[in-house]
Amino acid sequence: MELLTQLFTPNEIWGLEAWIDDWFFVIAIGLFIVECLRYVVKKQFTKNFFGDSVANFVTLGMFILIVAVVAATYAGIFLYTYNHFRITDLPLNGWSILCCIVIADLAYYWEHRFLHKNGFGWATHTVHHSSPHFNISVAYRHGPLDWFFPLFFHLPLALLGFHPFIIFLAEIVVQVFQTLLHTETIKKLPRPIEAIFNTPSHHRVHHATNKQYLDKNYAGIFIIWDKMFGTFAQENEPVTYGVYPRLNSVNPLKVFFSGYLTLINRLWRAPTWGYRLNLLVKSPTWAWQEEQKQKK
Amino acid sequence: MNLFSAIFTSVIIVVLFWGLALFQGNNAAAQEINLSPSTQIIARNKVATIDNKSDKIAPDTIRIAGVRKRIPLHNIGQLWQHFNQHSTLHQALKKAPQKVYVLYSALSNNYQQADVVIGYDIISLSQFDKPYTIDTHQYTELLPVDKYTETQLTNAWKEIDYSKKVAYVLEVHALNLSGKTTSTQVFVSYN
Repeated sequence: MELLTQLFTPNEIWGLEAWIDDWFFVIAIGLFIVECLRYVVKKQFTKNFFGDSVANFVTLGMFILIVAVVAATYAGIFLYTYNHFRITDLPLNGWSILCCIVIADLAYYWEHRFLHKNGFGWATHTVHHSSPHFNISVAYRHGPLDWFFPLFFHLPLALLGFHPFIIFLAEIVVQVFQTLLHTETIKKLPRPIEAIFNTPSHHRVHHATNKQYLDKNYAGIFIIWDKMFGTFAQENEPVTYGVYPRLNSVNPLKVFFSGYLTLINRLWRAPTWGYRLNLLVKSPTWAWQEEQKQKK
Repeated sequence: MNLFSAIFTSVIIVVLFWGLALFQGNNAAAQEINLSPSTQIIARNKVATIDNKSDKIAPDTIRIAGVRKRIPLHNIGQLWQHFNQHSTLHQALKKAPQKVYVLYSALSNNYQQADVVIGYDIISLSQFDKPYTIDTHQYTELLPVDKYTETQLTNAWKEIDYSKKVAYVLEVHALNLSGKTTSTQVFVSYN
């Protein structure tokens, strides 16, 4: 109990967040090497797999460059909101962090669902989904605006009185948890865990292009959100990964900007302004279906 | 579940967990408070010179007058600056003061804000506005009389028993002939 009630300074929380972020990356690299060895043994380590993995880490590098430019503004918005508009004062302790992680995880569910349901959000999130492979390096495959959308879904937590550094820590915890889910190595975990938490099995479904799996399992940590809100699907058949239209490239630049290039191309070729608006606000499935109709 | 119901349910879940965070009580341990050491040193140097023999606070009540403001604790340097520039207060000193008191009360739940008073005992003032009374009947000494670094002073806040409601934290800085702090005591009082 003392661990939950012990107060931290903002700097200590910031330090904890940086520590988790940095060291988890080291662990993730280690796990990725293990995964690669597994694919080598299974004779599934292909040139495309290697190129795709390299592209994933290059997109991470480009994403970090963008974040370096916008980070101060992003943090500033949270701090300004917290300092001027918060409605309560919540202690900076473990209990607040736990509550914030649950709420941040729910916020992530809605952010993730939002990204899948409109063309503008999907244009950045499609980068993460466009790999035909599924391994830990895919977790680091980022799009150019991946930093932008979390702002709107997590800022209300600052209004509620959670210190911005607690919110950032919660965001990192949710992200780090999900990183581990990007693997084919683990099939199914014990049933109680599968029932409550997001697992590699649940997340494989999320990355699938199988029709019955589309737009399912948005969860970060707790799969119960999907089960509650009707977006859950169980992994019952082999999964094929990727997106439509297929990217078919391991060029990092093409991978990183593919979503927005596709969106711009579609907007350019759109027959009407109403259609253009729909491309931005309707789901990518709608755009795909419309294109298939036009081809017929 | 349709979209509206899902959003409505989410709002309820958020309120539930926010409530849990909000009503967790005052069961917190210590927190380092980010004071501004440089400004404090300026303040201690600036006060006038007098031989200081007393190094313990009086046992009953102390009435202090000075500058008072509700501030984020990391901004305390600004209040010290205000205190330093308060010429009326310094001119009202009968003689150079032996001690400067810093009182933190009405601490916010996250221990980031407090009503802070920096001032002198009114006994040493010829005139003053709105003195602030400190009940020193019941207090716990966090730091005994000694010379401390700023880090030690801020670490003293970690010794506070946050399972109790904190009434105030009091720093008493004793001054030497040149106006520098020779020793400090830190006290906490619980409701």
